[in-house]
Amino acid sequence: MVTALLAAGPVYETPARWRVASSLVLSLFGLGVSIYLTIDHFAKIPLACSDTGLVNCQKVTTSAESHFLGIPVALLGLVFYVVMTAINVPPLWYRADRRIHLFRLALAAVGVLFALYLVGAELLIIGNICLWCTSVHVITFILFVLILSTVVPMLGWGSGDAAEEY
Amino acid sequence: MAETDGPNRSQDAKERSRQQSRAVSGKEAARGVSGKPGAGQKTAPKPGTKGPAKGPQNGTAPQGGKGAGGKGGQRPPRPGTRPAAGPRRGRTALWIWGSVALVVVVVVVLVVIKVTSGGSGTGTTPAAGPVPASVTHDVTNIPTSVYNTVGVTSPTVPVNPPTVVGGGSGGKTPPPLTYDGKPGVFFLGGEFCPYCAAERWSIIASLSRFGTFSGLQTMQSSSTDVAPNTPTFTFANAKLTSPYVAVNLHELYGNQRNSAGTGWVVLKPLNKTEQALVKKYDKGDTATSSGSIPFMDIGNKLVTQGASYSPTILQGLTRQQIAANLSDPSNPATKAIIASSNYISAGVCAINGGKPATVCTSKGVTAATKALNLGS
Repeated sequence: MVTALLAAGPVYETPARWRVASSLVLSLFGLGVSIYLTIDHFAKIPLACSDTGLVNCQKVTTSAESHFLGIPVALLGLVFYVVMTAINVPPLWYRADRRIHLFRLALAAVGVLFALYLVGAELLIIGNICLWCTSVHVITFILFVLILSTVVPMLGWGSGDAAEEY
Repeated sequence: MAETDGPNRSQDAKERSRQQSRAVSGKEAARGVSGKPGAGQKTAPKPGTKGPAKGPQNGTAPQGGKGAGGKGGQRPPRPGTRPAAGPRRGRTALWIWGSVALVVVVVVVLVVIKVTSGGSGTGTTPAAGPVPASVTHDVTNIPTSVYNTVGVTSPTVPVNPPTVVGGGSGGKTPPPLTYDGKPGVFFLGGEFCPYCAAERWSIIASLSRFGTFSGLQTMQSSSTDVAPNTPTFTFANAKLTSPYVAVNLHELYGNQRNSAGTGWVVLKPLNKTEQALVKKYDKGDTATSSGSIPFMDIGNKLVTQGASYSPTILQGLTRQQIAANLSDPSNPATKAIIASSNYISAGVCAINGGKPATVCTSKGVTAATKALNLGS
């Protein structure tokens, strides 16, 4: 029922081109970093990163928190950005199927929530920060803001001015 | 959502909805125009409807917005379209920016917790911390008389001397280890390692006679290994500034378990040069390329594999007590630390031409030089 409610209805506006392009570019950046982190995880190569002080990529990426439910976080990030990149290609942004935009929004929300968890783990459990991971977190956050501010008006949630370009 | 009501809706409501909403298509957006009537019919069927969506008759966007592609001009609002946007737009913005603010607040809270809690990691594994000034002073300013009194004699706790590579004076020795043109010393350890914990006391005591340490931090060995929680330091951020010798103090492992639970987190992997060095000289554990720790290579002339003395002598002592005792040459722990330190100093003197003379000609160091058969 909820799915039906969410999926029903029109798409009220077309996203601005800069938003579409930005989401794709950010996704590609995130994908690139995720690939690098995944290679590092499986090939055990040293990351190009400081290893002194608060910033210590190696310590973070080899910590117990580098796995989530037994799955390497780097791999989860890679899968996330593969899907995110795929769904942020322009043709899918311009599709009128609300489910696509809902999925994109949900994915971005899950991404930012997981990023928050990882930031918490870095700061409070591991005690170090990984700059490469942080760059992914920042990209995920910006994507979240971008997608949220684009999709909500597209779906017409809480807005009466459906055609107003955000 | 309203369109799912289908038969339950009045015709007026349906008509109003059609006027208010318009499914957009990629083609429209690509053109940057509002689209022709029916443009949305091909690509944007409305969910819940049987047929394609009907676009506005004149192709205009609802509410007089900028248009589908964002490039269209202002269009006057039509009668019957949605109410004025003001309060609703405010609600939308509230949702969006409220969510963003929530994320930002959570991150700020995490950072504040991190800062106010002193930046420790898990509760079970201590993080590196600042060394109390008194401890730094005591361990880096040990009176020469203590070195000279102890020499290499430690009757309570046996001290293992370094191994001279190539068999000592007259033997075949490999090319010297250097860093930046200076005679080099390489140390390989791990923060969890109790033997490394013991060895660092001697290393700091010795090398501080040749230069000045910076970046030393407190640490203690694993709570689950032998000699648990041995008070020590970490070289993770440490540097020695010296005109006589250059050091590479490498902490390979931290004191937290790795993700698999089979070992320790890697703090700083070895580069290829270091791997080659360890492979060549650190024969303590041939099963791994890292060899055994602690490992120290003094200019490719002397090497130590494993601790010079047992860390159990430090059990039950605080860091402050160990440091304060370093001025007492009769203390068993001090004897072990100082004897080991004199051996290291003798090694450094052997690779740098005996500089500084005040150290290298001191009684304690010459005793170690003699014991190692390094010549003068």
